[in-house]
Amino acid sequence: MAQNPRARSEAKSQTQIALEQFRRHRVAMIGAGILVVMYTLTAFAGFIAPYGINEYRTRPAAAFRPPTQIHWTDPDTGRLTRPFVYDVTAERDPVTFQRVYVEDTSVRYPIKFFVKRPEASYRILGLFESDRHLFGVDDPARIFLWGTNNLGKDVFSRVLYGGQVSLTIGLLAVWVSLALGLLFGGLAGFYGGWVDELVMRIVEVLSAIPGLFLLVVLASLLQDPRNPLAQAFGLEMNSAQTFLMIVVVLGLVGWGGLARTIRSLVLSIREMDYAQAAKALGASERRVLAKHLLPATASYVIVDLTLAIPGFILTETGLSFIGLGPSEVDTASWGLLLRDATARGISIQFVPWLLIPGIPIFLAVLSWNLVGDGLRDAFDPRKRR
Amino acid sequence: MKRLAVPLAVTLMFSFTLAQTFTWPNAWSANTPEEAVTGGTLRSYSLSDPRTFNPFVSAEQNDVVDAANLTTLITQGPDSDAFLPYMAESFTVSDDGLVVTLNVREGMRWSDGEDITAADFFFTYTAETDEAVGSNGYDSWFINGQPIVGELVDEYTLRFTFPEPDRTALPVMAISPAPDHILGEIYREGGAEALKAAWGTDSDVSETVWATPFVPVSFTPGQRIVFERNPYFAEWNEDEAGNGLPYLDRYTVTIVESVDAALNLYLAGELDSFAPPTVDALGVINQAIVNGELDATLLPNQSPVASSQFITFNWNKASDPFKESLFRDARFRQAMSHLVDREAIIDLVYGGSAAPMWSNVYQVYDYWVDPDVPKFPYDPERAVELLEELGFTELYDNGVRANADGDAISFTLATNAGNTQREEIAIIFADAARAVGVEVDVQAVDFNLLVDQLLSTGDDRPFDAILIGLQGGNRVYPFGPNVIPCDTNLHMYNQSGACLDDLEQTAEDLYFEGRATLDTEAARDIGYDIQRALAELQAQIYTVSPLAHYSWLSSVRGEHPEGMINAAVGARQLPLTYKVD
Amino acid sequence: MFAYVVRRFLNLVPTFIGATILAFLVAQLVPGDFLQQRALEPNVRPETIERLRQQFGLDLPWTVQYIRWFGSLLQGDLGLSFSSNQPVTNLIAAPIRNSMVLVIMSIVLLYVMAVPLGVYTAVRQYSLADQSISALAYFGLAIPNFFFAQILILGLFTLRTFTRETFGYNELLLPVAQMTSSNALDWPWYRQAWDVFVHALMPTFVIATSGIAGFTRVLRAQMIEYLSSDFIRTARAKGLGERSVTYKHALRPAVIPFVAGIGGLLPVLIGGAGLVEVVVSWPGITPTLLEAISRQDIYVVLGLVVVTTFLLMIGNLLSDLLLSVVDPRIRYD
Repeated sequence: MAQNPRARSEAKSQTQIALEQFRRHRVAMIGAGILVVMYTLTAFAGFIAPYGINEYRTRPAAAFRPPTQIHWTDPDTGRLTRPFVYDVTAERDPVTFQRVYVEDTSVRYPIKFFVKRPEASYRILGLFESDRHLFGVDDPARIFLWGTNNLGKDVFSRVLYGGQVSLTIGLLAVWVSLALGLLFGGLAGFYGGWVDELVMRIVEVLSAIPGLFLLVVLASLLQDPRNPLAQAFGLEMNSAQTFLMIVVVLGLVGWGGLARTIRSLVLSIREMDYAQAAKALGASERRVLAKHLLPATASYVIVDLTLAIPGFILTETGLSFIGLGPSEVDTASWGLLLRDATARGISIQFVPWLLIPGIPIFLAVLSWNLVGDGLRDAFDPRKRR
Repeated sequence: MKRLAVPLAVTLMFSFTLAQTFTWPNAWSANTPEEAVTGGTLRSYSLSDPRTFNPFVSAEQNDVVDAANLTTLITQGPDSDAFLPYMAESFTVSDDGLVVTLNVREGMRWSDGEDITAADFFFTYTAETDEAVGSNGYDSWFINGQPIVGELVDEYTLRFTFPEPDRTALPVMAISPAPDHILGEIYREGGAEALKAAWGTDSDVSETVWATPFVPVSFTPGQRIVFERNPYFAEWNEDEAGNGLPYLDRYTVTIVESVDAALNLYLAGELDSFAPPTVDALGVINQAIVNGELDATLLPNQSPVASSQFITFNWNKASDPFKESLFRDARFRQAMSHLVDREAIIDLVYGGSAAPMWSNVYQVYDYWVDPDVPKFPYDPERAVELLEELGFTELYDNGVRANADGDAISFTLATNAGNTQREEIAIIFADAARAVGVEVDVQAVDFNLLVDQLLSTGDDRPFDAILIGLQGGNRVYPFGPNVIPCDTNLHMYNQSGACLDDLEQTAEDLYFEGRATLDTEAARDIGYDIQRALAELQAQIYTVSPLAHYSWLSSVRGEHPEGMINAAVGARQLPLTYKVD
Repeated sequence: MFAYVVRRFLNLVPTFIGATILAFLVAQLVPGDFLQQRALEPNVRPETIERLRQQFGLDLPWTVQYIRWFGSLLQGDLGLSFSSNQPVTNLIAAPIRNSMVLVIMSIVLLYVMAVPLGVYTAVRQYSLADQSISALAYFGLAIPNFFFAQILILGLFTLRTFTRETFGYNELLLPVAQMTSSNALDWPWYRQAWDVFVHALMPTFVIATSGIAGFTRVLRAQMIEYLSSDFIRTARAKGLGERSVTYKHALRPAVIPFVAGIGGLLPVLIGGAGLVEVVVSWPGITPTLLEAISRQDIYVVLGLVVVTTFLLMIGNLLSDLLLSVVDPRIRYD
């Protein structure tokens, strides 16, 4: 059946109207802007980060270094100069038993740009490999913009790399949820009757079980290298798989609500005239479902999904908090970095820079929420201005 | 039984004043009886609720039942490993070491005023040896599978007969009584099931009966256990000045979810004592003390803790003959030990507050630790030499080391997920190994799964190497009965059921020889030999042992004197503790 | 009405059975069992573990274990906890009660803060105040609860350092952990109740802030819609004051969905109180659940599932009934 060209231009203009509305929503646009910046930065994490994701030194150790002080003026003349840093030596504070670092002002290490560091080579977007970094300093000095953790890993670099995990976890988990939600919600709404009854029962059963319980048990289960999923696909568990497993766990736990939304939308829309008309015209049920009902629910679903992403990001931090997120071993996620902070309890006061990973989490969750709200308003004809 | 003559002499000295009173030596406290003040509350904390008040059901840390386990027939003081008679007025061991006769102190009373007699101890024995009761103490009543037989001689005399001479027999005699007139009655009337159902956390804790210095009077789940002074305890326990013990009126245990929460409460002045687990916690407390926010004493780095952490390799890998022969080669494991950078681990993971560990004996049991045990410290060059000796001379472009057949050294090292410190130890080891061409893939696995892998048996077990820890054991013979013999379940590296290496066999033989050696010094010498055999074997590569720290508010007194505070005996004796305003 | 309630309850029976089966199954998927952890003790023999396994019935297939458990559930018995040999009912009663304190206080705080904010932002649409309040509300939404709680604890200690240095006052403004003070035992009941209230303030605040953003936002939208609707115009035309129009006529219908939502909030907030309870050591459901999971004390876990399912049922029912009370258009027969 050929598409009616007018109908298509209608649909297009609907999307255009929504986009226009969204552009007018200033707060949502700010959110979208922040997200674009964050996703871009993390995509180029390897280049921007001066150090590798798990790079640290044992001799001399660089544990718990505060953010490196960058000097802009020449200490002798007091005039502006090329920015440089000093190397530091460690001492122990007699009161807090913590390491304190004292600058060794004998040698200046100017900040260099586009430096080569073969120890920290990387791939951008999985495509081209390089070992050039945006900035860096010569050995043995180090430049830690946001300090280091207890092993001496650079927090700045790890936040960038961690973003790759945390920002994509939400996006991917949402697809898992979407697939399940569309399948079950669509089926339930469209067929109604016992199918509906069964699907809604399953959703109800899922929502009745404490989410935390499901998360914890599934996460610990999937960590097993011999878990059924890993065996089915012949996977060797490594960081990437652990990451995928967490995505699957989040998606599995989160699809119920989405299915419910889709079901009720389908239910109300299938009674509408055009679905009935299509049916009357002899379109098969599957066709009606795919061509008419699902697109009609798209706007609601997009909003729901957008608002689900920040939820997944937060859930990952929660999982990490109880020690079931991605592991320290060879990956980093914001949740894991935040755990570096929360695990220290009150003694975080000695190393406050470890709280920095909280900021990107906050910004990402906030921005996704703002974008989601903006989209909702944009799709809502009553909120047009 | 030469060694036991000494504690007997000590007993006579202790009990010369009044035959039936136990006098708490002044040497166990930093303060004198004259300084002591009576009254007041000591506020302590615990990380878990008691699961039961029933001593026969309890299987884990339990602040009510564990308190009862401190009032026993015989006991060890904080200053010596020798056993002193405590609730027993005296005890004798037959010359062949097989028969122990204990004379229960007369005049002791339960917290409900009933007399404590030999029947109460005998009831503990009866219930613990009943399979149907399923008590945690069940296994201790067997020596190499042979039962220890108890006998109630008369109202104040007990006799136990051992199947063979054994060093670990005496700790079994540290029996704490259970009220025969209550729990014994229940057991005789309703059997094991009735006994197990008694004294659950749903019963009123104030109606339970104890022999302890403090008896529980209330328990609010998740919040607090409150103990009050047991007036009958003072009848048979006194300080050297003749004052009845304990000094304190009340003792409370606040339940917290985490050590962090306990630290917060301590800093807020809500707790009287705290054991800082990390250097960070030490720093926070010290800062609060220096700033004048907290009036407290802080004792850092008192001793290593009573636990071990090690990497163990799997010798049973029939499906991968290359790895199996590699893991079974002592030179390979020694090379791996040379790659454990214990200094870096101590510095980075423990903030400087840990000690390297070389032997299977917890370092806090210093009497037993062989100072000359062979060590394989961090030395990448030596590790490379050893690997080259094994034929791993090729270095591929990707930095992996292999032998002439092209077999590369690559294995996974699993540890329990969520244990940050272990994960970091594994990472530091893996990175040092990678630098010399040994590919180590670190995996963080759920604890239950890890144990599942570790305890699997047979010729083909599912792991390469695991980093894990063990705790438990005693000061009398600190070698685990389930660990060293080749066919036991915690003999982690080899679960084929038989010894595979000569040194493994040597260690097993020495283990049994040492157990049967009653003379402590001779047993220690055998213990040294065990440690040497195991160190040569390096089947378990020991890493580091964190150090224990202590802190308490300045108003709390009566702690052990200097040098007597360590992870094995703790910081204080509760009856001798008192509080000043 | 009564028939309706009964019907609703019967309807939930299959859900309930399904939830318990699923929970049982998922818990069984994890290898090992409660006794496995004992196996790592150097002094416990494997035979002993095996014998205990039989005593606990852990050697049986999970289906048999489930049927046994469900059978006793029908008699009102939630089974025994492995770790304490105690009826699960006794073990989970106190945590549920304690969590309820937090949950109820958070709901109250949520309404107290969110309703005025929603109304205010609706009346002052697009004003600076509207935008800054919305932004602040998002703060609670975007920060992980457990993290926020830890920051507040650190803040309380920092505040103490400040007050000590400036006024010589060396006390914390609010308690930082647990739900009672260490010497609460000697206090009269009203002081004990106050003590719990004070301990609950900080976690309550954390939990409530995470809900404010969504709540305020929806209420604001509803208010805006009603304020521009015909019946409000009529009311204004009749000469009613703006205040009366706002609070009497627009707020009432706008708030209906929230009143109805109280029931649904119960189980959600119990989940949400979650990790905050761990951070402040509040002896509630989440710490109990986490501990039971890690010990594989499966009947305790199931007990909590049963209770949550039950709360969900009650909550939904409550919502519907409340709706019929506040909205005269709805009737159940």
